[in-house]
Amino acid sequence: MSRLAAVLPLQAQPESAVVCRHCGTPSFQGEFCCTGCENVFAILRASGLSEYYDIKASAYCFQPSQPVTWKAEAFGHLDSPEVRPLYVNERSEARFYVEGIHCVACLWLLERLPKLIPGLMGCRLEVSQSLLTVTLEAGAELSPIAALIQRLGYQPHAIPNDENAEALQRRERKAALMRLGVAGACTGNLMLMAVSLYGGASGYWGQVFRWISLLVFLPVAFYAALPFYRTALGALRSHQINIDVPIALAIVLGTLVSTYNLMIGSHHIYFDSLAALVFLLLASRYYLREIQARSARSSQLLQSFFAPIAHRLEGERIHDVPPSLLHIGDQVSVAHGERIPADGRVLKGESQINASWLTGEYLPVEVKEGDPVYAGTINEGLPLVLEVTETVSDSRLGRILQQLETEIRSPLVGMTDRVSRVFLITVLIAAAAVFLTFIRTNPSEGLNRALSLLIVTCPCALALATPLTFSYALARAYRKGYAIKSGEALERLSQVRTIFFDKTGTLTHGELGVDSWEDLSGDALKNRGLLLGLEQISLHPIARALRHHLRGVAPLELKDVEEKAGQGVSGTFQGRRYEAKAISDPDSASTCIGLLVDDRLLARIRFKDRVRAESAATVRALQALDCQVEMLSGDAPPVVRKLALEVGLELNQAHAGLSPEAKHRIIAGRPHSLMVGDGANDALALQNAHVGIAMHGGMDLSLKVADVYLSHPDLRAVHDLVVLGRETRKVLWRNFGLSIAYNLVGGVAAVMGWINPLVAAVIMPLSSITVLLSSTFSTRRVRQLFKEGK
Amino acid sequence: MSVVTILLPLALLLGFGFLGLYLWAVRNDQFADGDTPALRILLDDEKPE
Repeated sequence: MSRLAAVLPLQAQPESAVVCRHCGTPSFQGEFCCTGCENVFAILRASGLSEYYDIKASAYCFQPSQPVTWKAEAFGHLDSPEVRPLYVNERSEARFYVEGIHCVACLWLLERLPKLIPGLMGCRLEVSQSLLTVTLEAGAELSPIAALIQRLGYQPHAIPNDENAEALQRRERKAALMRLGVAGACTGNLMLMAVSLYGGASGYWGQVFRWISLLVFLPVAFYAALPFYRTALGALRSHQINIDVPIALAIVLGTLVSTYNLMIGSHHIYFDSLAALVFLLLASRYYLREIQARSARSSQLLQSFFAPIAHRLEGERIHDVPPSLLHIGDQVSVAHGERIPADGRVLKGESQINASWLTGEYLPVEVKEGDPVYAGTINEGLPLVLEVTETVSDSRLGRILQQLETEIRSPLVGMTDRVSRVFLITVLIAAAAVFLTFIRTNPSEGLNRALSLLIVTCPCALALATPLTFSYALARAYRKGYAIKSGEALERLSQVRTIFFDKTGTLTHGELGVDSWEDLSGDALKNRGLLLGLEQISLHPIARALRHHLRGVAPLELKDVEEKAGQGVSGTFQGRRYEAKAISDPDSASTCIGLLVDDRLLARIRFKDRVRAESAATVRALQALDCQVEMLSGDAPPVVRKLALEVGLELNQAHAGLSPEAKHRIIAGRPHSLMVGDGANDALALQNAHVGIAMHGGMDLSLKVADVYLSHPDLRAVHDLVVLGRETRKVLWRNFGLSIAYNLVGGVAAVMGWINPLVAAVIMPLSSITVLLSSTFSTRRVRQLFKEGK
Repeated sequence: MSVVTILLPLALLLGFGFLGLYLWAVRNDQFADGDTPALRILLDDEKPE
């Protein structure tokens, strides 16, 4: 217990409560809160790894530890010759995203795996990303390792390896860090020289210091500042002007003028200011890129959760392959709860299919032999055997995927770039005017003043302000669980005028719940017991909703319970035949189930998809922000109308019966629209909206195309994000104002000929610090909304 | 001022020496993961059998 005692203790539990010996959450049934935890405890003890608990007891936990609830998953497919190369790279490394990592003890345990299992050479965990990299011995199998990680109480998700993209990212990040380091070191050393020069070093030593300044500045000009030249040239080639054009211009001119002045013995050299400018800009851009990468990565990792696997039947054996390898005529089996891998026809079995991604309808569709089923829909009932009738790329899902890949959202010309265009043109005209005024009297003085103007008015504060403002806003949002993929998305958010919500799964929970319970005759308690007895084993969502509603009620034992597809459940109790089936509801359009005995109605239970608690308030809050709020749904008009009233929308603001393609058309017709959705049926709309927000629990497709991903399903986030976007724009404008004010002062000084390197050296950092503070403090509204620890 | 003759090269040498070390560290992935090493160091080495 003594180890790590110096590290912060967390999770103080009340003394009296019994806590689980594995996960430490309160337990109501003895030593362990659940069998999952008990199993893991037993495995750790048997493997001689009980030290885990000693470490955990005294270690700092960065995530609360959770009871073990993972369902057993088969990883056999990872070893098949077709799948293995997707996950294991040439150096025999594979990576897992591991859910459930919470403290140092997890690090200790997971990096100890090679001791527990043969064939594993090494394990490295990246705690901040929950990424585990395992190195295999040649030919060793991956599936036992995944299974072991799962037995230890974590949920591993194998991540497809993408060597090229990752290597490129790593190289770019390294290059950025090296440039930053070079610029920083050179700036520091230049300051040493500059201080002596401002301090009055003159004569021989003054000249030595100036020449050394030039030498120390060279790596900045020829190495660290390369990215600015590159983007500036790129923009000029396509006849555009972005913020990098004036920056590159200032660096190049500054270097040339300073070098020339050094040669002729003048004191006007700007090496220190220019190096500091490059360093600050590189630093702010590096920071923004890191934050964007973190957000993009967390949604990328989530996508790997959904990697579908098809179970192809080959004679007696089942072969797990990725759906892209399926051919027409292949037979595949689909178990309960699995995604259907390709469009096909049912060969064997009867079941219910949740086709909500296509239709928005959350009630499952009954299918039997011969019925067609579509890729991406979910089998909610009994296992099915299918024959593949379309390859994945020809399926409806595949076609939508292709459309997503070909249609790219038009890039936004950011505010900074627009402002810098005006700015650059103004400065160029001013410089030309200055030069022309002096051309008769003193051309060399005129040139000097014009050049000083160009150097001094380099929009450094402007260029610094934008990435800083974006990174602070992105970081604030990320801490609240909103992963915004880019600063551009934030700028788009500020322009949003119309907000479209998907219905199922977004405004509602996306699952059925009991709405009302009406006992018409008989004993209320007995009715409940009977119904629970009938629905005890059914996999139908209605049965699940009933079981959830009747927690704590003792089921009555019925005999000969049978479930007929589409006709409900029936069973015998004390000699009488009871049935539970769908009945038409006289009052409303909602789903309704009746409990009947001898065709006499005992109870009527209405179901509906429950509305999220915060939906109505969010709609009101967004309307208060002057946004038009509308709802898009694939569901039938009566259901949609009812929900519209519930969340406070007008009937003409609720669109019903829409296919994924129709949603896309509505969105495409509205500029500056924000789409909030979760299913794959929203993917096209999410991509085509000005901004797309994907809800937690959404499908891989929607995560891929959305600009923002919410890590917990809370609609209030939409309001927060719109406010954040608008407030960020205010901060940007404030920064522009500040930076332009400084530039005016510097510009006037340059034109009047007052400017010298000392003035430049003072104005530059002063303006940078001002925008830094302005970006950090953002606005009061943002500080209130995104308060730490909330 | 003659002391500057020694101090100036020394200062530059030190400064750029450390820059060299930093570049070496970046190249060798020392900054690839900023969080885990800080935690890993808290764990004891395994006791000899």
